[in-house]
Amino acid sequence: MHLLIFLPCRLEQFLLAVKIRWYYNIGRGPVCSTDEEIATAFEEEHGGIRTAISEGLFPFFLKQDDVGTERDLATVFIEFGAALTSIDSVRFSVTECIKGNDIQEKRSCDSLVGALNGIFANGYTSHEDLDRQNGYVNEATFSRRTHRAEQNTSPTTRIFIPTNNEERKHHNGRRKQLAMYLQNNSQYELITPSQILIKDDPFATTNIIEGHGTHLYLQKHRFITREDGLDEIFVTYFNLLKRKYTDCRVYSRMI
Amino acid sequence: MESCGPITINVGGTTFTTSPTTLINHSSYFLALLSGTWGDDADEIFVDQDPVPFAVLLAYMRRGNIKVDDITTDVLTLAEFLG
Repeated sequence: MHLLIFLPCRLEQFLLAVKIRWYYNIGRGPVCSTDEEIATAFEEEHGGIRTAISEGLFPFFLKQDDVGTERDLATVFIEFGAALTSIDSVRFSVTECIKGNDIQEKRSCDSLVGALNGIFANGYTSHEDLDRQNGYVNEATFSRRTHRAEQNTSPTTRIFIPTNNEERKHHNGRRKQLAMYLQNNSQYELITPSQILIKDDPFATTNIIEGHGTHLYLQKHRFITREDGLDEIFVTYFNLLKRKYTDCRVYSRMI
Repeated sequence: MESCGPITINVGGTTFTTSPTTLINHSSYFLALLSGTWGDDADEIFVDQDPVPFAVLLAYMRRGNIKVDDITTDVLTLAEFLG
């Protein structure tokens, strides 16, 4: 007779991990808190693995459903409470909508660069192209996905060796950072991420007023990519900027 | 069978040699199959399943992890069967 050792069956653990990955990839996982809750929810919704396969859902086990996956949203918009008569009176609000919950006030910023840098630092990357016809001018919404597998420390999430594509995404954790170049005849001004406070407060910015070394400063700090198109979104802000400055441009870098 | 030496299983015509503990620690199917009176005079166990997904699951049982790219619908269906 064999000596039977009753350990937790690892194929069961594998099947649990399959259900977690699958349910999450379909876009439903983040609403559950435990592995078992996710597996139960997956079975209740899809009737188990065989049924999910017969429903044609297997591709979503392999790759996340880009359309159906729940996303967190962050929106940057101009505060319209004050009279927008000069650029100095403009402020930006950042709101977040986490996992479809109510919108939460997040932050008020005095510069567009600070507001956008702040949300990029919080993992928002994809610009959601909203329908401008419905009055969305002067605001931009970005989305992010909650990567549950990376946050969860349970053994079931360590079963899968990720695909090459997932591996690439995981290591490509770089984010965009913006700086604004402003010129008023012979005077140059930069709004850049705060070099001192950036680790603690990604929304923080520094205003630098320089002479002709402005371009060198941007190049030295790798702000070399022109970010066109923001002026089409934040029309009010850029119109006010153009009243005060003869030239204004936004540059980005990846950090 | 007194020893815990390697055993040979024939899955759909393809033979696999492995440790019995690898199978019984990971699969309730093999736990039931290899317990009781099995083994005293059997040279080989026949399992009427597809050998290709079985090879993937046996590798998982040995290593403890599995490449997402290796998982097919057949692998998942067999995993449920062997669970």
